[in-house]
Amino acid sequence: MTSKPPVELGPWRQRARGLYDRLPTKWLITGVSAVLLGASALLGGLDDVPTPPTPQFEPGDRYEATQLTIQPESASLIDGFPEHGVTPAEGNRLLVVIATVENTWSDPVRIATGSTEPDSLVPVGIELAGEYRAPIDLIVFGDGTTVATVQPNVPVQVAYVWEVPAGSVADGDDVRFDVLDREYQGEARIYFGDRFSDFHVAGYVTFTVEDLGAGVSG
Amino acid sequence: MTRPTLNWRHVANGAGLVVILVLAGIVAHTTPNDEQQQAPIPVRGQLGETLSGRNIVATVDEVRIAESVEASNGWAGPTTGVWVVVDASVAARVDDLGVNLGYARLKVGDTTYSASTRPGTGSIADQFLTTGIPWTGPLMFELPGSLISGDAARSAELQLAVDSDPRADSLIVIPVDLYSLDVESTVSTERPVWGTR
Repeated sequence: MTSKPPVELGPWRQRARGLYDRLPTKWLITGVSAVLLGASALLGGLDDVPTPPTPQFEPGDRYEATQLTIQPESASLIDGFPEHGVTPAEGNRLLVVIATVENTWSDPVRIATGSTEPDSLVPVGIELAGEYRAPIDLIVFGDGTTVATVQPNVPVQVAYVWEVPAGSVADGDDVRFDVLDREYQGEARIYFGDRFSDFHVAGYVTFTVEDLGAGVSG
Repeated sequence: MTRPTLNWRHVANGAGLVVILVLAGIVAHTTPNDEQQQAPIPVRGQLGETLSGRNIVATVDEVRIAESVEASNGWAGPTTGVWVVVDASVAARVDDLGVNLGYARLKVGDTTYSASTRPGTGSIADQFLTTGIPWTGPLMFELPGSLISGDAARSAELQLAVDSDPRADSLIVIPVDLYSLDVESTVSTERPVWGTR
């Protein structure tokens, strides 16, 4: 080992420069970072961020979503709606949620059925017959037609219909339904219409399912 | 110090610059934006008049308002609002390949309502059109009852176009005074027919 060449004594600037060159910069940066991280960890910086609980709605509560207000009223289990052409496959039954839907937008709003994108309400924690969580049909109470579009400020009572295997839900079961919402992004540029994002669960409502047997006419 | 003499070339340069800036401003402020470039091309007319657009020929004969409607196919849709029933006759003009009456709207104030598809075959909403031979039948619009007694109802607009996207295509626009119409308790509509009645 050769000893370091003696530091030349020069003007004070040269000496300051020499001291600066010998500063262990890497160690200082690592050390300061470690101290900062350690301090933040001590103060709770590594703890899980508490997620706000999903709000729970009571049956009959009105939820104001971006385009629609949804007021789910009851859930029931029936054999079928043959008079409206909705009959489940053998061994399956229909889970039906009655809700009043009102469009608060200034244009007609389509509500989806049978697509991959469920709309408004989705049952949680139960087995469904289909692949998707979206309802297989949305029926207008009164005339039994399928709702495709909800007109602005005209409330309509709708039956959301899902097909479930017979054993999946029984009379008296509590079933949770998530109420879905989305945020308005603005007008679409490529296609025609509005653009939405941030699809999220706005809350949930739990219904005690009532088995109505063959079904109700209505 | 001597005063600098006025250099006319500099003055001309400055004036030229101002002219260019003004012209650029005019161009920037008058260029149509995306919305204007793609806006539907309105074809305006009155009730009873036959209006012709690029690929649509339409005549609106009558507008009625009712609390309930009985359609020709037996459909009777209850509503919490009212039904505005429009009797129209619509044909394609140049091409009928996959062309339907996909855009039938009633605009009241800032709000638009689409022709209901609930009456099914009892209405000509979404009806596939033919070139030259019109489909004649009703269109039902579901509106809140309070709207037709408001001021906006005086200057409602009926809009018809082929396909669901009317941008950059003809849009038949007919003013309708919903305010002056009486609300009937029930209206029966005739079966949609191919041809004129």
